[in-house]
Amino acid sequence: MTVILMLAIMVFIIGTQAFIPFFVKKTEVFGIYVPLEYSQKVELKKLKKSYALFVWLAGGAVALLYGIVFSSKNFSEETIALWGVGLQLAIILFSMALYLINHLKVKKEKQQQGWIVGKKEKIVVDLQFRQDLEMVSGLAFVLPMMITIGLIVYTLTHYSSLPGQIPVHWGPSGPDQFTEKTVFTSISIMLVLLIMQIMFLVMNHARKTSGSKIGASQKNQSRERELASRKYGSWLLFISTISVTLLLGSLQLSFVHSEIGNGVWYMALIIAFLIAVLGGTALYAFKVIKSGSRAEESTEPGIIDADNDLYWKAGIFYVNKEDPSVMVEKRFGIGWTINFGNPKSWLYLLFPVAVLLLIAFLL
Amino acid sequence: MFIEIEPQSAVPIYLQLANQIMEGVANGQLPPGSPLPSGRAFAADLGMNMHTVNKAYHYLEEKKMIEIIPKKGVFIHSNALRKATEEEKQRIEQELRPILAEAICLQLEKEEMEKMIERTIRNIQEGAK
Repeated sequence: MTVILMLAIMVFIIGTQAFIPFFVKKTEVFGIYVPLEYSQKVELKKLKKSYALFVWLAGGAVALLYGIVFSSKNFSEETIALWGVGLQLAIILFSMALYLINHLKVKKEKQQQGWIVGKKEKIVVDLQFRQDLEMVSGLAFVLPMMITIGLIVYTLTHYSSLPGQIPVHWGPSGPDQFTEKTVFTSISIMLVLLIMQIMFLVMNHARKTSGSKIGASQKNQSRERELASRKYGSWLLFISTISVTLLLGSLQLSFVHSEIGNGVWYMALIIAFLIAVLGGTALYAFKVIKSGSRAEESTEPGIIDADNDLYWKAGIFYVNKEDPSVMVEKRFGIGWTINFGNPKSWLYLLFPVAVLLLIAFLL
Repeated sequence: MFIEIEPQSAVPIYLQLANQIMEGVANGQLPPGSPLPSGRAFAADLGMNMHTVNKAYHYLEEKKMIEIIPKKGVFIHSNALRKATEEEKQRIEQELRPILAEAICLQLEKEEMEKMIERTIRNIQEGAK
């Protein structure tokens, strides 16, 4: 069972890693900006194909070996899981190394062939963008916090009738690890939930205020894509905050009133949670890819997007001190990342980590 | 309305911003009272410092082309399309002077210049580049 699960995850990782270069923005080749007219070059297509082939071959070989070795003999569950996770990480590291090699290759090609020499760079801004932006309002993210605060108050008013042992870890059949009852431990899950809800609120706000990156060569199309990415990204965040509130909220309720909840119920809850979040993610990716795949507009010759390679370290990390954005859309077009050049971003990144560590330490 | 900035151009970026907004007002794409993005949002869209956007906004505010209403936002001035005052006429005449001086040095004919002005006015009104 564990072997099959681990193999499934491996194949999923190999598949996504191998296909990423084909899903991303056309003008984005291994983290390097390539003007549209060059982005369909045969050399670049070949690089993408050989990258995908290498990931499939190496990943496939690893997965096959893992499957054969661990299904033939009797290994302990722990060994199987440990090797599985280790090899998954190895596959990710391998594909990242391959990505970096290709990143440097494309960078060199771009310089040698002078793809942006003599071209006019343009930054495009749509004055109407903020008015057309449809995102879930911040208030909607505050409502689930009210539930959390309500549950904290509710738990504290029932403090004397709580069991002496507080569950801190849940397995397939219900709680399986406990800690001593104190005021802090009785509400610790709700505090973690509150931090998560604040993070979702902050992320939604950061995306609302993040700069729109409209391509100079396909203005209307990339504008649509930017709007869709924000809109459905915001819905995904909202689904996530609601699902996590329902999940952790019901766990909290089930230990205040131990008569509700059994193993089946927990499993159903967790599966529903996973479906909601994975479904939301799939919907988001689908909508964004769809909005960006309309027919190309005719492009003015000699005009290219602003070349921001300078700000994208290794094509992955965005570092721009001038840009007031805290979050920016990932360079390849799906997902979000942080502007490491803005001190505020570090605060947003470190604050939740610090608080979560503090809670874990106090438990 | 799309604003298009050329970062490598000799024209300062704040002026490129201001000029394009003014053209938008002139050709009706930005009617009086229509909202503009906040300085922070605009700077984020450009991926540039807020200072650049603020400079453009103050430049336009001085010309009474936009109004910055605290806590509400930035709008095209309700009186952006108006009959020029004597002062404003004088200022435009002054601003034309160095351009005309250069044109005289380059021996442009008066008729040529008139055609140029007509063509440029037409382009601005049609929103052409």
